[in-house]
Amino acid sequence: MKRRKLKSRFPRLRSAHEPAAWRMNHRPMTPRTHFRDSRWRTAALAVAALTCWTGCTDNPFAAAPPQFRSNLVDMKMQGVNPNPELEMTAPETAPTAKPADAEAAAKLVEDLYGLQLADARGGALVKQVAADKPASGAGVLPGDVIQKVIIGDSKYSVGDRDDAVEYLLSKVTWGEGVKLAIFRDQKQQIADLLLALFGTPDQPDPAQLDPFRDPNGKLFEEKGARPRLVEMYGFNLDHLETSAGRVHEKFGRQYGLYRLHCAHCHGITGDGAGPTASFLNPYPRDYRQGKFKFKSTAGAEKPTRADLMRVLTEGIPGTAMPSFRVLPENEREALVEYVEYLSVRGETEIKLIEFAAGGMPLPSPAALVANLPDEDGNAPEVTEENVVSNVLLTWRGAEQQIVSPAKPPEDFVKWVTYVPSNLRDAKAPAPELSSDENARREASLKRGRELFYSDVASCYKCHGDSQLGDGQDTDYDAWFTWRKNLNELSDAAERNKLIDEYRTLGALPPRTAKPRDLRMGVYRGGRRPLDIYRKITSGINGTPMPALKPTEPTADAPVDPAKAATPEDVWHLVHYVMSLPYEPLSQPPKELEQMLKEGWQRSPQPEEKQHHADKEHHPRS
Amino acid sequence: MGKFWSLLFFLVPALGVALFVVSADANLLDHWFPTDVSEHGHVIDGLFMMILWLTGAVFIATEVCLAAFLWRYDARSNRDAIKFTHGSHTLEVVWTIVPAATLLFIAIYQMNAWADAKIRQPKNPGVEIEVRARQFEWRFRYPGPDGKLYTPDDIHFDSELHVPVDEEVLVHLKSEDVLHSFFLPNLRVKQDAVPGMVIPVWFKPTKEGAWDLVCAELCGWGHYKMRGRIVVQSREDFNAWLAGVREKQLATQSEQTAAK
Repeated sequence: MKRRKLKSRFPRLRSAHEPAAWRMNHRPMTPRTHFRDSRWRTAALAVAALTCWTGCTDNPFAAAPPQFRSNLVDMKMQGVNPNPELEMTAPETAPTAKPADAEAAAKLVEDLYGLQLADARGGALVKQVAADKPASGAGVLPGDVIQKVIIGDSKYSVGDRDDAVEYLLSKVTWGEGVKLAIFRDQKQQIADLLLALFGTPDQPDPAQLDPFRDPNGKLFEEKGARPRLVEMYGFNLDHLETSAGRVHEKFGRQYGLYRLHCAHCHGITGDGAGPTASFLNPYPRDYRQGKFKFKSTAGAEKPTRADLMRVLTEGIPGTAMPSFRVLPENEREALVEYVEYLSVRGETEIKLIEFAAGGMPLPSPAALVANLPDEDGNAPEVTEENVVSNVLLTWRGAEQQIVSPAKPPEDFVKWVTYVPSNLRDAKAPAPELSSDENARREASLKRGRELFYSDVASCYKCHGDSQLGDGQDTDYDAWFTWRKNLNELSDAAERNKLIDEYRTLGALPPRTAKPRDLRMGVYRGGRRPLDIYRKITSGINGTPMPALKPTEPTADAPVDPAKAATPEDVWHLVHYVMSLPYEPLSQPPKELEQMLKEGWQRSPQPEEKQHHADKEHHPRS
Repeated sequence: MGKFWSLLFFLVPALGVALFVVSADANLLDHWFPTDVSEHGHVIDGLFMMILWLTGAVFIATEVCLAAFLWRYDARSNRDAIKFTHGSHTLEVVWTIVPAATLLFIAIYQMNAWADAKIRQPKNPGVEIEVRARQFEWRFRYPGPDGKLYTPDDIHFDSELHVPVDEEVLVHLKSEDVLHSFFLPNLRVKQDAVPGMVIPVWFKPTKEGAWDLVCAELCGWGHYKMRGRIVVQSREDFNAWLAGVREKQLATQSEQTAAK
C-alpha cells in the first residue's frame, strides 16, 4: 500500500516516448546537479565571465566595435581601413644600427619591400630565414618569410616566431591567408585597380562612378573615354544593375535582388561571410575563390550559367541554400549573372594579391583587361599579365568542359526505381522485373558494392564502411586552406593562437569537410543519376572528394576489374549509391514506421492504462 | 458638452461597421477573403461569417446602448433623482446564461467542420504528398508509379506544390528543423508543422490556377521569404507534369547530348 502510494507520487518513466525534458526535470539531486542548478553556479559563471571580460584587454576584439568585426577582412580586402586603430599593428620599435653583415638576400628584401631588417629580434630572424632560402629570380618574398616563420620547420623557437610575426605585422597587412602578405600601398593599389575595372559591388559599372570623387578616374587617361568595361567582359549590364545596390522598386521592377535574397549569407562582396553565415553548416559559398562545387563541368573548371541557374532554382538540399523557383526567371537570370560578376571580381582581386605577394609589380589596368575573350571563350594571345582576361577565359570556356557520361546499361532506370521487397506493399504492387533483369540488377549492385570497397574507387575511406559518412573526416576543403596549413604546426597552443588571429580578422570558425551520409537520400549536387555520375567521375571541386577517372575498354586492352573502372562500372557504382537509402540498414523497423506515420493519433500505451487503473483504484492518492 | 461624448462613443460602432462594409464591398476597397478554391472552404468561411454576425450584432447593440445611456443620463441635462438598487438576480442569471448558451452553441455548431478538417482523414485520397518544411523553403515528395511514398521511385520537387483539381489531396506534413506552418490562404488550410511529427492535412481544390503557399509561423530570420506556390491542374496536366519531373529526375545523359 505504502509502496504504491510512493509510486504514484513519483511516477517512473511511463514509456520511451516520454519527453526527455521530463527526465531532466525529475532527475535525482546529487551534489553535482545541485551545483548545476543552484545560484552558486550562476554566481561562478558571472565571476568567470567578468574575469574574462576584464582580462582580455590585449585582445583586439576588446577594441574593435562590434559592427566592424565581421567586416574586417572584407574591408581590408577592399583597401578600406574601417578604423586606423584597428589595424593589427605592433608598436614600432626604435630602429637600431644595422649589423655590418647585411647579406645579399636580406638586402634584396630590403630593397624590394623597404623592410627594416635590422630592428628587433624579429628582424634578425626574418633576415636569417631570408638567408636560408636559396636565391631565386623573384627574390625572397615576404609571403615566404611569413609562411616559413609561422608554419615552417620547427627550428625556430616559439618566442622567435612570436617576435617575427609581430615584427612582420608591423610592416605588412594581411592578404588572403598566411601565405600572402602584401604591403599597404600595394593594397591600396589593388583596391584602386578593382574600383576602376569592376566598380563596386553596389555599382558594378565603373563608368557610372563619379570621376571627381573617384580617385581611380586617373587610371584611364580621359574621363569621357572610359570604356563600358563590364559589357566588354561580356556581362549584361542591365542584369547587373537589377541585382546590385540597395533594395528598391522602380517602374514595377525589383532592384537590389542580391541584397534582398543573397547578401545576408553570401556577403556584399560575395565573400560567403554575411551576417548569417556563421550560423550555417555548411557555410555559404565564397564566390571570390572562383571554386564551385555543384556543376556539370570537369574537375576545377568553372560552372556554366545553366549550372548556377539550377542551383538557384532548386536550392541545395541538406544545406541552408533554399530554392528560388518562385522568383521570376528574369530575376534568377540577373542573379546568376551577378554571382558570376562577383566571382570574376573576387578572383581578380585574389590574383592581384598573389601578384603583389609574389614580388611582381602589378600590371597596368590596360594590361589587365587586354586580350579579353570573345563570346565563345576564345582569346588567342592572352598572357599572364591579362589577369581579368584569364579569369574570364575560364568562365567563357566552361561550356566546352561539360562532362558527358557514357550511355548507361540498358535497364539502368528500371534498376534505380526498383522497389525492393522490404518496401513492397500488397495493396499497390510495384512493377516486377523478369528473372533475367533481376539477375542483371543484382550483378550490377554487386559490382557497385565491390567498387565501393575497392581501392580503385576507395569510397569507403571517407564515406565509411557503413556508408554513413563516418570514415576519415579530418581533412579541410579549399575554403579552409589556411586552417589546413596550420596543421603543420606541432605546437597546439601556437596553432590555437593563430586560429584566434584569423578569427579576429573575420575568418569563420574552421570546420573539416564532412563526407556525405549516403543513406540519407539527400543529394546536394542533385539527385539525378547524371549528377551522381559526374560527382564520381570529376570529384567535387574544392573538397577532398577525388575523381574516379573511368577507363574505356578496347578490344585489344580489356580493363582489369581489380585495377580500374570502366564507364559502365561507374554506372554500377551510381546504382549502388542510389540503392543505399533503401537498404534494410537504412530503414526503420516496420512498427516504428507505422508509429511515425500515425503520429499524434497514437493510442495510449499499456503502461499508461495501468497508470489510469491505479488512479481509479486510489482516487485520493 | 456631455452629449458630445455620447456622440463620440457612437462613432465607434458607426465607423467600425462602415469599415467592414467598405472592405467587403467588391466595388469599394475589396479587401476581403482571398478567392476560395476549395471544397470545404465555404464551411470555414461560413463559420467565420456566423461568428462575425453574432459578435457584430452584440457589438452594435452594446455600443448603441452605451451611447444611448450616455445621452439619456448626461449629468448636465438629467435632473431625475438618483435611484439605488441592490442588483437584479434575474438579470444576472440572464446575462450569464445567454453568453454561455451562445458559446455552447458555437462549440457544437463547429464540431462537424472541425472533424472534416482535422479528424475524418480521407480513406482514398487522389494523391498523397509528403511536404517537408525547412528553413526557408518547402520540399515535396510524390509517390512514383507504385503509388507508395518512401520507395526508390519517389518523385521530388520543391517550392511548387502541384495537385490535381477536384481530388482529395492528403499531405503528410513534416518539419526538418523548427516550427513552421503550412498555410494555403485560398484553400483555407493552415496547419503547424512540428519537428518529429508527421501531421496529416487534407483538402480538395476545386479551381485550376496558381495560388500562394506561405509559412504562417515565425520560423526564423528568413520567415518572410519562405514562399511557395500551389498549382492546381487538371488530372491530365498533373500526370504529364509528374511524368516530366520523373523523367528529368532520372536523367542519365547531359542536357547537350539529350538535345542532339
